[in-house]
Amino acid sequence: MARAKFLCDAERCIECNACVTACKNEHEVPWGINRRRVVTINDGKPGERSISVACMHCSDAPCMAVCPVDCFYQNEEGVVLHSNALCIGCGYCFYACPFGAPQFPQAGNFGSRGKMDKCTFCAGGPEETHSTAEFAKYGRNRIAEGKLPLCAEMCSTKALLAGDGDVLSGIYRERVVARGFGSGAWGWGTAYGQKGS
Amino acid sequence: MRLRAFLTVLLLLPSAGVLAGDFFKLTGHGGPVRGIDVSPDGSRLLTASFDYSVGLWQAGAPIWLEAHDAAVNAVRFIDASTAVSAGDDNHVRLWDLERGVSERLGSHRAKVVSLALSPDRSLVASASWDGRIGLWPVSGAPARFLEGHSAGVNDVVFSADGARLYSGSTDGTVRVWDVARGVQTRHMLKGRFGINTLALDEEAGWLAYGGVDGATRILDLESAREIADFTLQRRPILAMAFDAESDRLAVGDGEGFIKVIDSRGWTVLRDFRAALRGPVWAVAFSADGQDILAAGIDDALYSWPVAALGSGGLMGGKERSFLRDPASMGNGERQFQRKCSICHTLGPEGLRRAGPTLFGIFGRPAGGVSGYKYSRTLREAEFVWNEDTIDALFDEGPDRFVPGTKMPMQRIAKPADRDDLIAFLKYATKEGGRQR
Amino acid sequence: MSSRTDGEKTNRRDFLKLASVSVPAAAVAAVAGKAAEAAVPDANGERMQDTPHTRAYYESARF
Repeated sequence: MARAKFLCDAERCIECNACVTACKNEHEVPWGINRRRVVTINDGKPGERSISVACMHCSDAPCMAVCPVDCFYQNEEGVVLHSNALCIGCGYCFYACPFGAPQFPQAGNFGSRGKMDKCTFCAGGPEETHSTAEFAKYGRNRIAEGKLPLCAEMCSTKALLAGDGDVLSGIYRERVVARGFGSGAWGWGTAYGQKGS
Repeated sequence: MRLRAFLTVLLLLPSAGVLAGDFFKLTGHGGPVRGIDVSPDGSRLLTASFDYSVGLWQAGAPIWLEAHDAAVNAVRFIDASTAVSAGDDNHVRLWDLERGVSERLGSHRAKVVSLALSPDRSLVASASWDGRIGLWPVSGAPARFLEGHSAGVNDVVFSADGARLYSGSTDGTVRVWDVARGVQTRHMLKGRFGINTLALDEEAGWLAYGGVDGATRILDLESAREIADFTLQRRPILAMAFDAESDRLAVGDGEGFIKVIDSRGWTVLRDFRAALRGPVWAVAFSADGQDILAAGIDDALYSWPVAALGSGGLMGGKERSFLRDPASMGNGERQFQRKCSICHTLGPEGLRRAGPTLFGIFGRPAGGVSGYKYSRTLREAEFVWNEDTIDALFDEGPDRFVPGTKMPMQRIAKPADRDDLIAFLKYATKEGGRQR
Repeated sequence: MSSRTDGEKTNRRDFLKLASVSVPAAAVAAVAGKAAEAAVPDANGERMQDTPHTRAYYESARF
């Protein structure tokens, strides 16, 4: 079975933020929440690069291990999803995520504890597929539409890839061969316990 | 008199004799414990919990200190009669432990997750997810803020002379600050992954950090080079404590292990599974350094002698109401157990939770449980809890129905689920109803 | 613990309508030759699917 993965080719990201914008628009995420963001790695050093980061849908996802109420679940293709109804907004998962993915909106003017929000790999959540409730809580379910995460589809340089991990690593391998170098797909070892190249 | 001796007696542990260094467990909190501190003389403990309370423990019995409007993450003794606490409500509070009252020193713009006390006990440093470090004079003089981290700050620790402060952040950096001038003087580390926790022995010249990715490394203070690396395949690292007397460093991780490292030769003395399930959120040493105190997913504090770690019991063994198999319950009960029971009980026995008991809720005026510290909005509310108001609470969400409540966001969108929940509550919250 | 239950059968028709307008014309053209082999999207699928859309995407990434 396919394993759903993201792949960040740091050699290609031009920091255009199209992925961030696409994600916000597609899912109508609340103000102040960025399920995806572009960060600089090796800041100020010769190897400085930009990469697009969100939930990587890790194998043995550490967020799942520290959640006190077991609000996370992983679908059969490895996508880490969560139940908004069960989340208590404790913030514990943030300490565990190597990619800083969990986001915590402030609820209302009084700062009452909100619910965690994160990238769903455009796979919705535990509500009726394509329902209003699913869209409101988790955003669009593009996987059920026969598509892939919009951030990756919108990436003009295809620095950010999403889809079947085997296909992605094949594409990445071809790139490394063609350009003669590759530092390894950023974050793959951390997320999936293996090298990306 | 030794604290442990009292505790052993009070807790009726299997050991017949009253021996120093026995395992003990302190129960009473109604949520995970995130912060532990030991009083300077070792006779008392402070705990900070998700249940919005600070516990002050003496001879195994708690005094509950309640003032925070959300989960409490950190607490520190300042001296025998004063303490400081901070939490998810963004507030830093100064406690008079004799009178059990507190005042707000001030606030961050996001949750405060860690506190440190200067060696002369005059200044408190706070680490906040607003990316700032607060410096709070215990005298009550105005606070100063250290700005520079590009993401939330997770931990702070003072140098031995109090002149410098070390901070670790989600931005992957460890920074050093000049406390008097309020400026950053050094970037000790710039890594790829967030730093969750720090420990320091300036005299010996090292700083330890624990990271989101499981990094457990020791840096030389002068050169910032790595002295030792204890990183295993376990992540994240969540808590560290150092005992200068015994030169031992305790490290708690997300997979429930505590590792004890000897800082003299940088060897691992013990690595033991402290929790059957869930992470280790807090570690501390007893005043004499002979015990390790820890807390995790349980609503409890555990203490093991360093010489017998894991003896007596492990964390995470308790069955949790909110984790009960959903298939074993009807829909109404399932709604309650999975969504409400982490913060509310149903019975009259007054067990501690972040929210008040729901016992007798139907017909009860809002804000009506005596002894529970309500938000202002509930104290001043003039309605009664019944089918309609409970339905509205979850239809609109607490943040809309009772703006300003301490209750977190929780909507139950489907009318049928609300109906089932209300039907369940109707019999479960009655006298003689099902108690959990 | 996924709880997709009652509404599973919803909107296959609506979905197809949606799919037909949302696939960029260029992408469709690019894979026109292969499209016949790709499966019709399953609107209730929880897995990634082999569709003209996903094929077009993978092709576009190979450069």
